[in-house]
Amino acid sequence: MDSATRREYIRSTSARSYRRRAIYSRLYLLAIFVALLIAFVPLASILQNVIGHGLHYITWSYLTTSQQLPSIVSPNNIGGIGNALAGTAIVDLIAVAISIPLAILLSMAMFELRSRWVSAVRAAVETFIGLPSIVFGVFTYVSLVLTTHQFRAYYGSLALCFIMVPVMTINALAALESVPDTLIEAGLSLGLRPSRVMLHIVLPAARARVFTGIFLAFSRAVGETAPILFVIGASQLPSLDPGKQATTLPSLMYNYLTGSYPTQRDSCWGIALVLMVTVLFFNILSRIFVARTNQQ
Amino acid sequence: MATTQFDSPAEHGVPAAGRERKFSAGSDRGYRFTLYGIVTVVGVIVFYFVYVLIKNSIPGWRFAGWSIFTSSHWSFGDNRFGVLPLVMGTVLTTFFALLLAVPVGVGAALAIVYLIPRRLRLVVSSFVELLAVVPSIVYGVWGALVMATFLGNKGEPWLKNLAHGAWPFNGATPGYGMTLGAIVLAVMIMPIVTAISRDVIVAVPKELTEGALSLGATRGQVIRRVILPSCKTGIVGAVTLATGRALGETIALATVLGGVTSQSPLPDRAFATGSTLAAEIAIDFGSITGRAGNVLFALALILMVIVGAVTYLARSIIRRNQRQFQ
Repeated sequence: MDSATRREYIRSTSARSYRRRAIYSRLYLLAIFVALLIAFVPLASILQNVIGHGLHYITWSYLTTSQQLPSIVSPNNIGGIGNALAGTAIVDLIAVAISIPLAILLSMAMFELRSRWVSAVRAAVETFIGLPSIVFGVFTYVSLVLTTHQFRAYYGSLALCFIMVPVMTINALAALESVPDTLIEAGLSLGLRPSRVMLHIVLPAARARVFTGIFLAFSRAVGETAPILFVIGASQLPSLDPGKQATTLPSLMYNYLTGSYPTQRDSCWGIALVLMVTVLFFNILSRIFVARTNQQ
Repeated sequence: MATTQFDSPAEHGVPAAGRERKFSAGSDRGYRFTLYGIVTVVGVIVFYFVYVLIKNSIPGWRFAGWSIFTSSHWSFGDNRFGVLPLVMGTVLTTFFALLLAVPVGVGAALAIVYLIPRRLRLVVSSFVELLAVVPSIVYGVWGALVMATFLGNKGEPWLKNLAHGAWPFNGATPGYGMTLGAIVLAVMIMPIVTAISRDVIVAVPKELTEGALSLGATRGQVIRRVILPSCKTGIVGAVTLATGRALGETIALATVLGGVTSQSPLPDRAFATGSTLAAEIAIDFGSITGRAGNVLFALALILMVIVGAVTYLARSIIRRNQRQFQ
């Protein structure tokens, strides 16, 4: 049989089956294409609304002046989001300042130490990643707000640490474990103490991936509303004092969403845009570090 | 005996890969001490966290009594704390959200990897990844300001007409309610499902798909018989993460559900209002005090148990599958 007749033979016997398979294949591809289109619609609607309704809010005065409480006489008087930007800055800055060293030390400990106690703590930290963030808000409220009878900005930071530290720790641990053992062995065989090996060999080698985890955790924490809602109170003046009450972007947004003036609800889109740009910025930063890791 | 003794890396103080300790005991005391200290501090915080939640929930359990698990009457005004509507609300919104989001999300991931032209791929997948990190309150704002209006004016009346007012598409069409909750959750978790599934699908070895294609399989067959089975574990992982998020989601749902009004464990129709455990905690926490407030801690514990159980179940599924593939 030459190839032409063979092809003809195969075609005649398997034509029906082939046609059926081809139709099913088309259906499959059509189905996943439709899935992509369906996925696109709500997500495009969100982006369109956030940019379409939010963009005209982005002016210098909106970003720098504080919020105003509208009244029946002047329902359009909502002011800006300067106080929320200041609050977000101080709450998140303190949260990061606590989380990063704690998470790195914790991942170092989990990397170096093997004991029941350490693996129990590790299991607990892994569980914390999956817990609903509201329970951290509830915890912070009872253990700090109820005992001191004060709302304070740094209580919000502490609540955010519960979100960030587990994510950062587990990512940093994965980063440390990706460092080749030969590097560690080389360091030890030169007579370096384990702490020097960690600080001068392992950590620098894992740096890029550790930073990736930090930015990932931070971009999640920036938008968290539930854990800080009950503990930071509210402040209509821009304040960088961690011991005072504060308003953050997400808490202001929740406030406005449940507020009674349409102007407040519309202003949510402006805050949403600022929030999304912030998150996007840190997400891109984390990607730059991912790209750098891949280059290494 | 002698050989095993000398083969043990710890005997030489040489670090070994895997689960052996990285350095011998005794050296670098201060370093070890610091690290143990950190672990202990974190461990104590974890214990304190659990202790505080349990301790504060005890008056709540006492106040609500056994009826908390048996009654379907949830009302602070009447001091009735039947938690069933909230549990069912949590489970139902998550279930329908997964039902909507998982097929669409996985399908979209397949389309991103296998259908879209290469130039567009980066744009589309960055778009999806951006949406996976959008704060949940943005989804809440979208649900409350855009989707609620759309559902109330167009979506729900349309469904009602389509079903000729038959159950479950009967009654008032307020827009907000359990349907809106499920949709908002679905939109929120879909990018997570898509982003993770995409990573898993990209990681399928080229040899597998090319082998199947060279054997005469159509592209559809390759997707169904080769790619999906080899991605099963990864997709289950993605769905687990999404489920965890959906069960515990608070802020996106707090303004779109409408609140519990009926005294039945299940919402009586698709457009009914309701609530979830997490949303109820967020809405009531600041305003409800006293022993009724302690009931909210009981809610938090119930929520944690549900999330924990689901995560554990999913992990055991993943582990079993991994063993199969080995």
